[in-house]
Amino acid sequence: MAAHEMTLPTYEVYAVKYAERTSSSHGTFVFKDPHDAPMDMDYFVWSISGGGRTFVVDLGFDRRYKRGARNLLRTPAEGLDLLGVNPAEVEEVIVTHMHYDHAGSMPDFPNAKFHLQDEEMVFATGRYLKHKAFRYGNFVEYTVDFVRAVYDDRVIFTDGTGEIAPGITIHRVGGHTHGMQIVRVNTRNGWLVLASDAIHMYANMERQNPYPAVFNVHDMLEGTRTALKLAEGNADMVIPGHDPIKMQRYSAPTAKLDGIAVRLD
Amino acid sequence: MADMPEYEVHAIKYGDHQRMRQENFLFKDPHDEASSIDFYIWVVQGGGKTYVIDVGFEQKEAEARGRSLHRLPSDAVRMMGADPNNIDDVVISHLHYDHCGDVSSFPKAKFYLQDREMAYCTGRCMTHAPLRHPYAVDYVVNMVRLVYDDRVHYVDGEMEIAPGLSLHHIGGHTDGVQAVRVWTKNGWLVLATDSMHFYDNMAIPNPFPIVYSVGDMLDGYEKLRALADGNEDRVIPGHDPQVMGLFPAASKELEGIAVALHETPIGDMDKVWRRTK
Repeated sequence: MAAHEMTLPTYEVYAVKYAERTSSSHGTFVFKDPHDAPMDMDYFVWSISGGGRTFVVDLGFDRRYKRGARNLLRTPAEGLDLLGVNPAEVEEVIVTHMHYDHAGSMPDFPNAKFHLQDEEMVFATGRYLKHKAFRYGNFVEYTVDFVRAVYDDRVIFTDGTGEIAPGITIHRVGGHTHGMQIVRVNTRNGWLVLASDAIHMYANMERQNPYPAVFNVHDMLEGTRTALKLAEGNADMVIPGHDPIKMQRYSAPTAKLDGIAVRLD
Repeated sequence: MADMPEYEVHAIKYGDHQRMRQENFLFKDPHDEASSIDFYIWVVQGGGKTYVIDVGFEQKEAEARGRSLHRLPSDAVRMMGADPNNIDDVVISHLHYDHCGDVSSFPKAKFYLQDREMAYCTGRCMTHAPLRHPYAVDYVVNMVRLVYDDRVHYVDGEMEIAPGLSLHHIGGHTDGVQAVRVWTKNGWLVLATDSMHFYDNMAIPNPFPIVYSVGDMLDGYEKLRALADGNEDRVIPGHDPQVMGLFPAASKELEGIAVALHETPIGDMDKVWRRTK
């Protein structure tokens, strides 16, 4: 660890699973393998706590979202509550991007401000939505929540890289959506990178074969590199956004949270 | 220019507001006096079609801001013999509250908007209260919903929407304000909308004080003149009450309500543009 990092606080990082769905490898990779195999997806939000503060990463979706065969196990707010994070007291939420499964339960966080990239709002309100392929990822009610939050002075915009607190930074990578951002956190084990949907599954990273929900393939491939670089080359410290394996690789902080939350650091 | 229809263009006044002249200028103007600001929409007709430029505000926003609403913008369109239910194309010059309020009265329409306007009014500039003030969040949200209904046609810079009818990004007042150029029997006519509010803003020049980029606004005045092939008399400001006296009324019944901008001016354009002492 470099000398200047010694002075940074370390944070505890948790993934909270709030939904799941069945999928397959053909639904998971841009470049198809001849053999289609089952490959399920989990849906997460994340919490970062340390130095007496708690930050939430992403808002998941809530009961307003009724499209598709996603099994909502608990709202993100309910999941965080089980972990001991009271959503009503959360002051800062980092929103990695505005897709329905990351930007959805704003009403459950009445006292929060939301960190977002400039380009993400442009993407979620702009010209590319005329293509169904892009419109599908967003849910207009959630986008409208964000526009209203801008007018209520509750959105903090970042252009590129920004520091949220000492030892927590956000980095725009684009690719999946044009304003996609990832989060780097200082932990007891070094830098941890929450890649969110810059890397959906471990296999997307390992095979250099991105997830097919993509705006710009080159940016998405570069985003994987950036995530690895931010983790100082240690792939074990890069956390994909939707991989169910996460729940097996890491352990629950308490027996009661088995299958619900895992500690990532 | 043989393939271009000669369009008829009308400005229809739908509201107004009394205020002091000083409120119209960024730099202190030596003459302060009682003044008024008019609220218009514009209707362009030709080639068998009707195009609407801007859809004003409705009653709720008029009350919230203390403006007088004389008629709904969609009713102003009806005065031109067109049915808002059948309009296919509506140009939104920008998304300030007085230009985009009555969208629901145009159920079939596509709305032409600059990319930069939506980015401006949903992005970080709106975290500054003075820049946010002229926007009504409910109207912005209506337009976002139309985007998701695939009814917004985004324009990046310039676009021809029909032969002899084109849109031109100007910026300045807001980052995405656009002007409209129309071919008429008197040559090119330029609807500046809010890239020029009053004749004096461009004639002095002294910019309108609700402004995002002063440089772009001043550059914009030059662009407008160029779009009118150098003839500033063919540039129509967005809010100047003088417009109602400078052009002939659309008809006897519409005296004081609608004027025909494609006709030769009946007022003293030299005085308006300060070309004479």
